[in-house]
Amino acid sequence: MADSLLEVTNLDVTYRTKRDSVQAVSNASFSIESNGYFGLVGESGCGKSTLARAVMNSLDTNGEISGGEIRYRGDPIHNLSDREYKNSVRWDEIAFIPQSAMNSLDPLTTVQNQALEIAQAHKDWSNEKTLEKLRELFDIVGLPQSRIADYPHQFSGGMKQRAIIALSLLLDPSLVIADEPTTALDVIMQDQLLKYLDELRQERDFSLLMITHDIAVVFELCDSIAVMHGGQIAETGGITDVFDEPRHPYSILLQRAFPDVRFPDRSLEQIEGTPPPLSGSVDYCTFADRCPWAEPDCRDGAPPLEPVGGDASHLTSCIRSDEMEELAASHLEGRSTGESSVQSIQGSEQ
Amino acid sequence: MSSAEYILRRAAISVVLILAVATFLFFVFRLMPGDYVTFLLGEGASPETAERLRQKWGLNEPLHVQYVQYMVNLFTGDAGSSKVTGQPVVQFVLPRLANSLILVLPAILTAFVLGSLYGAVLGTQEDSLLERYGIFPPTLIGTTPDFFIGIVVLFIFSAWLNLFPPSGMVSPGTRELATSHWDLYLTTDFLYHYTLPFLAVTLKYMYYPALVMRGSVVEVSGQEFSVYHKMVGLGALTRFKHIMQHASLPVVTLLPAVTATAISGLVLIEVVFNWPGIGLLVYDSILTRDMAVIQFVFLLIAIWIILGNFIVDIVYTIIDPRITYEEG
Amino acid sequence: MATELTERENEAAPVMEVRNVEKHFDPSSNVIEKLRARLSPDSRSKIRAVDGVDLTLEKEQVQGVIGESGCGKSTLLLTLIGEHLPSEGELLYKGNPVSEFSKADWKQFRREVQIIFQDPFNAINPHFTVRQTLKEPLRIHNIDQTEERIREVLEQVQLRPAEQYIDRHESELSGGEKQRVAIARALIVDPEVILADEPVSMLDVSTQASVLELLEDLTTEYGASMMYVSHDLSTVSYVCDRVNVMYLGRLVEKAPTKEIINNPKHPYTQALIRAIPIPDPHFEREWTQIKGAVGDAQDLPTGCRFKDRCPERMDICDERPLLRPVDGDGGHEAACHLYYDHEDVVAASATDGHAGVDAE
Repeated sequence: MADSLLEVTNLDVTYRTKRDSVQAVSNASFSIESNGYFGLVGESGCGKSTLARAVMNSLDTNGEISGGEIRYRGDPIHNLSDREYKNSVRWDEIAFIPQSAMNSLDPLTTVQNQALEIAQAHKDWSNEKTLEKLRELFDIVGLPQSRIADYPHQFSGGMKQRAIIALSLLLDPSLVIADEPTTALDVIMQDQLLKYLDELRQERDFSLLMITHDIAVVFELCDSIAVMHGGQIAETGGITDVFDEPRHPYSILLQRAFPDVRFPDRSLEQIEGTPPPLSGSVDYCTFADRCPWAEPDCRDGAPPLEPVGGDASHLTSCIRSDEMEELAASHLEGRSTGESSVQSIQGSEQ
Repeated sequence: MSSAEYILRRAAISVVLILAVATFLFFVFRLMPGDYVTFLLGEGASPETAERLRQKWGLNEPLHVQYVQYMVNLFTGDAGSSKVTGQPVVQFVLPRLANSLILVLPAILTAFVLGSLYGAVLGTQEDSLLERYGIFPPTLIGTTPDFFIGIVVLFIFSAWLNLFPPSGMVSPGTRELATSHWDLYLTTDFLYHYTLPFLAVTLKYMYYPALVMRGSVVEVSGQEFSVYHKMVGLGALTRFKHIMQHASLPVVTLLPAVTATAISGLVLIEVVFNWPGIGLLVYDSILTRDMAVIQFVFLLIAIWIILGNFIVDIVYTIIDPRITYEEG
Repeated sequence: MATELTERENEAAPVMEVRNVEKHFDPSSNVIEKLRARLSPDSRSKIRAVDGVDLTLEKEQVQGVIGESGCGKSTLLLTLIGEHLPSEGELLYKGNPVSEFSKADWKQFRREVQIIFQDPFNAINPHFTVRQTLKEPLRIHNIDQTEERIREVLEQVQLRPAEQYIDRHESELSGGEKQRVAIARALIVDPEVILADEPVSMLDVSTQASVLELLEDLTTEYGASMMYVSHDLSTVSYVCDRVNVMYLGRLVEKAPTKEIINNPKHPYTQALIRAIPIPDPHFEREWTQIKGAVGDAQDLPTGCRFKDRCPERMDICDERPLLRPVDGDGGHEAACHLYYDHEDVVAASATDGHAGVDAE
């Protein structure tokens, strides 16, 4: 593969508590291209946030990368010290939009002072230059320039979200990680925000890694996807590949578990059970207990990520992936793509 | 409501409170069982002397007339005369108040600053032995009665090491030479006497701020904006500064409460060190039943507490821009 | 327990009805402001969380109320369950106004109308086992607290085998399981009406489907009616027969679910539907054209509350639009000037001698 912007290979992340250890991420691999839009999807607790923090070198004190690599523009960043990470990559190249803008902005500091502190920590820009950049970014995210000197509590919820996006772009990063950027927002605000983000991405030429539980948003917007379950990457690849030809039971079932407003009569897929607690070492498929097609072999060793049909960009970690098309035929059929049974929702085919 | 309005409003409320306390004190002392004058003069007094005194002090007047007179007197700075010294109370008490304040205020402030810093440092040492056990020494000292700390300090530094004098505020010689009360404070002799009581008070009051600050820092460090600061790459010192800004709010509220308590604890420390402040005065004047003095001192203590709260309100609004000036 | 209420029940009446119901909140908090508000009742200073809502819930019907945060849907639900008493207007239960209820009537009401909350993590007493949680409503309403009844209801909410769950504490249950226990708790007293406040929004998607299925089954099996409140049209459309769209305290559109999705009339409803993400990379959806955010509930404009964001705004929109039937007879109503002539309607009801139409 040509030099991807971000490449995660066989990554393990472990949290150690007094009594035992939890393998939050096991053997994760995926890659993000320049100016790409990557969606990392999974339920709560699947490890997606942990993975993002590992990329950001911001794991809690009891967490560590216990295996594998993370490479940015070809160079390893998983084993950098705090200082090295800060000097080479932090915020300058890889930035982060936290889930709750509301709580991430320091309520006792004005937005412009927060921007100044960020710039001072990484660059030797003059204050004037930083503020100029901030004003420009406020403009781009649709906030009045005059408000850069306001305190966070003077902004509404949606405006805080946009302010924090502005802060994330302050140093012109090439990769922006957005952690559940729309959880607290209503449908219309969510739509507005996602539109902004995508336009920004294209205009400013950065890659966006969106972490979310909402697969609908990912299928709509992203060009690549990784589906996570119980710390393992179930499937990853180009968005149309994974959508048209899912090969992991979890991705197959998950797609059908989301209501699609175009087909309100369609019954929803129900996935039994819950993800397992991940203590000790994870040497089994974490979806096995919930999988309708599980076999004893599935619990005998962690399933490796393998290409689907020889396509190295589409990977899945199911040992029965080549049988899935047949086994899950009933779940796969009747998926109309590009159409809508609902008159008011019409789109154009892509 | 603007901040000016808020401050005026709080000031007005404080004044009302002070008047209410003065009124309360008036009635409490008048309504005490037993006759005031006989109480003062003791058993052996003749009824004529007692009656003359009552006339002189207007104690036969109806209560509301006395009350008005009392308030008017207070406003004109007349709180009666001390039975013991014959001096006007105000003139007599104020220097003693100054002696107490000059001991208490710097000591508690120092205790808070040092205690907070200590607690903050403990709070940043996540999961370490220091965080868990470092609170022990201040706890031990802080929960010991203040007079005991005073005694221990005296014992070590005065009796044993013989570094500092054991009592009083200044030696008699200095007092003779000084031209005014305030000059006393500027002498090295004063400092010499000052050190031990200052040390005792400071040590005693470091406990609460350290404890609160430690908890506060731990809590604030876990909040999302602290996590965000780390993610964004802010330096350790900058992050610490932000954490302190947030974490100090609960400690600031603690200050008036602690200072108020300190006034009462002060009595014992002043007794131990024979420090001529208001605490020692309360002690002495109760023994001598010097009513006018007692009454005035109580009023001063109440004023102190009310003022303290008022000042904290203002300080809080400066520190935290989120607080708007709405009541309730 | 047969009570007066049962005897006064009107068989033909809808099981629950609200007529022109309003619920106001007083934003002032201190004594002085409260006095001021009392002396000069300025309607602007109140928060009109629910402002003139008419709803009719028939037997065995499932209705949804959708709207974004701040539209008043949760307040409406809490008014329906009797937690808030309406500031204006009436709530009728089985044809009887709630304002005339005796204590016994209320007791019956509280048994027959149950609520399921949004947050399963906080709805159950953490000190109780599942058994205790389910016994509590039985005890309150003097129903036999048999083990069998408990087991039965647990099976019905798909917590099988019941023995496995009955002795568990809240901390030993997953989010989905907790919500099922909450549903079981509502069912165990055999309710007539179930009110559900976003019951699946805090659950993972894989669990949502099964809880939604469960809710759907319940109404048919138990013969209960349901009012389902949510911001998510996708889940609402899955469960409900009819949908009501709410915006800043008012209902702007009411229609059967299919109608609302296929043929939304009100510009707000249209915007809502267009904003829903479609899980299909081959489908190119139009982005939302609506700007801004939902307005401030305290500082409301006169007339239509959506007018500042509406792409179809006209001058007449400064008059409050009336909820009127649109298009066909399918029970589709919308409150929008695009679909009727306001002046004609006002003139008509004036000459008919009706009481003045409520215009602002």
